[in-house]
Amino acid sequence: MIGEQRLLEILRRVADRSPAERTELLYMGGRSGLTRYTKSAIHQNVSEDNGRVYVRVAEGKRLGVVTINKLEEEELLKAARQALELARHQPENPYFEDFPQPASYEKTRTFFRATAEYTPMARAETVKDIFAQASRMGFDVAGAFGSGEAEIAIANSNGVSAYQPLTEAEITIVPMSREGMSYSSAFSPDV
Amino acid sequence: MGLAQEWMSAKLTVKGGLMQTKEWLKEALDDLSQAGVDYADARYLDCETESITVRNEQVAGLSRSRDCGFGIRALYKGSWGFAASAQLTETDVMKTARRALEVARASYLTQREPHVGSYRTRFEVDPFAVPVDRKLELLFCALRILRQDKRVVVAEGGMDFYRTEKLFLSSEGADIRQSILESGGGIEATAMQDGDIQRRSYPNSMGGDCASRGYEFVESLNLVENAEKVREEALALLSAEACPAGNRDVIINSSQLGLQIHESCGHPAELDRALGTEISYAGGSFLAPDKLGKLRYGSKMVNIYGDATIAGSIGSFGYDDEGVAAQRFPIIEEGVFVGYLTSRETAPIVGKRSSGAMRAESWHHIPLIRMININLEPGNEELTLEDLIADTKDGIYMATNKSWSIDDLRLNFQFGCEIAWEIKNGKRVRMLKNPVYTGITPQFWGSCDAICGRNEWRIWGLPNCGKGEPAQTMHVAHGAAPARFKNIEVGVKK
Repeated sequence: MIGEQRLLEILRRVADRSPAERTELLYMGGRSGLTRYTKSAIHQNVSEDNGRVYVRVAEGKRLGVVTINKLEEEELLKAARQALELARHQPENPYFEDFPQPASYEKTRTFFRATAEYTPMARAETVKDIFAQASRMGFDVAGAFGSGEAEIAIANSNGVSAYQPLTEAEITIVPMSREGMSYSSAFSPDV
Repeated sequence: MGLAQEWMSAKLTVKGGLMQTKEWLKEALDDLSQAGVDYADARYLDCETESITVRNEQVAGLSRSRDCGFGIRALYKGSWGFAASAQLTETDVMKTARRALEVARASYLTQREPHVGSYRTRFEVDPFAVPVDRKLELLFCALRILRQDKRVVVAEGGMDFYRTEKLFLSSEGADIRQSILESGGGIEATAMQDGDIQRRSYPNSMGGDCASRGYEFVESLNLVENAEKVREEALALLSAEACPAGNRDVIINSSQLGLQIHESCGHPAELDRALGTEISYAGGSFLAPDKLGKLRYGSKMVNIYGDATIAGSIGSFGYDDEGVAAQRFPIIEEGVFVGYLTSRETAPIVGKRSSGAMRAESWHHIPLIRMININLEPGNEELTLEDLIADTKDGIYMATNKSWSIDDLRLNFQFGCEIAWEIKNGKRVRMLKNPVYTGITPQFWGSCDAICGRNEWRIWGLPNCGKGEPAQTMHVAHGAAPARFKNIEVGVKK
């Protein structure tokens, strides 16, 4: 996790320095892990750390967007210049008025530390329990168990500056026997 | 500085830092070796894409993106781990390597054949250096022709370009650099009249065709020159009769046969599917390992090969994402199922060596067994499509995919096509709309009684094959010549 202060500092600086009339930068990124299993054994376990910045600029009613997974200020400015050139090829969007103005946002709890700190080993222990329960009932199981933490940050040239951390956990269970198979899945920010 | 120049400059900046990145990745692999891993590899990718869509008289979408990072795979005491990061600092590379070790889980590895080499797409014109204005003008020119009749309510065209710079290192000594460039495009007309809607596309549906070539490939498609035919066929379909229901001999064109191969041969021949590791998501396969070398999959003239060595195709490369060299191998030989798409880990389960089919969509994805170029070999060298039609007494010729569905074991399928022609006594007698055909995979391929020759054979790029969790999209391709299938169920029974 990069953190609210560092993320918003970078995004605000680029929004201010952008050559476009108006500029918006949206960051979405984080770390996630996924454990896949079949025939009651884990066969894939992955971890990903990534973040993307959607650099959107407006020139009158023409919009341009460039996506980049780098956070260096000069790379983001380069993306803003590219977005500006793309905008000049776009038709005017009659419904576009402006990027949002600064506002106050209601606090919502979307980040749960236990989920953020959930390790690959913890996921393995959980699916091991599932294997045991399924075995007692005469089933093999396939599926996937993922967990992760993420952060969303947005800044624009109107002064918007907002940040929200979040966590997520998702599991899919497919019990299988000679007679057939079924499917269930669940999703929650709190593991 | 123009947009194209800026992107070229960005690319050069990355290239400048590539040697440093390589050193850090090598250090991380050394660190993992010292920590006791049996095997580790690292992949660095820098990918650029540009996508252009125009609809009627306007630009409907114009986007560029750049995605750069690395993934590290480690095998520790029989367990695999994979971790990926976009943060290209020495500290982050080392942390990511340690995370790969931390998440290692069950599996095993065989074969050791480290390669040191490189691979580069051959192209004439870099599409990222072609001004957007020039690309848009070509598309708008084609669309103006499509829109010359008011019944064409939507005319759409697009182009897509991909550039991937890839570095692969392994603890066994592999050191591979690949630079892959892909270009594609197509147009589509949607016509409407009296409550009926018909669509015709060129050169193929779902975005056209895509090749591992430069902008010269898009120009070679002659989108403008073919627009009038596309428009006229879309309009003619509005007044065509519907495809009758019943059992008929069916001739399938090259592009539709490409998708038929993809769904009913390529996917079931993926060994990970056959072993059940995709059962909870992409599905399984009727080609179970006990059927290898025994199952009659099709008629004796059906020969289907995997071949990642075909120049200019998007299913080609120099080395897969385990460092295994691209190769050609049989999947169906004289109608018998003889081979799988495999990885280093899975191939020994069926007593083979890796077929070099482990690929990842990007740096943050783990490699999975994916299709490459899966091709139906040409049949009688002399046979043309017109010869085949002339040889058909009562049949239907279907072209260009419109819809598809197939069960999770890849047995029971139904395909819809954009257009068809009824054949009577060796002649096309009338156009048919809404053609569909259905079948069971081995029976369908078993009914194949004629395949056209190499002059009718063409390879089709398919850049949207989905599989895996987290979901990955892969660029694959399928070569085929038109072929005839006997007594196939067509149309929709009322």
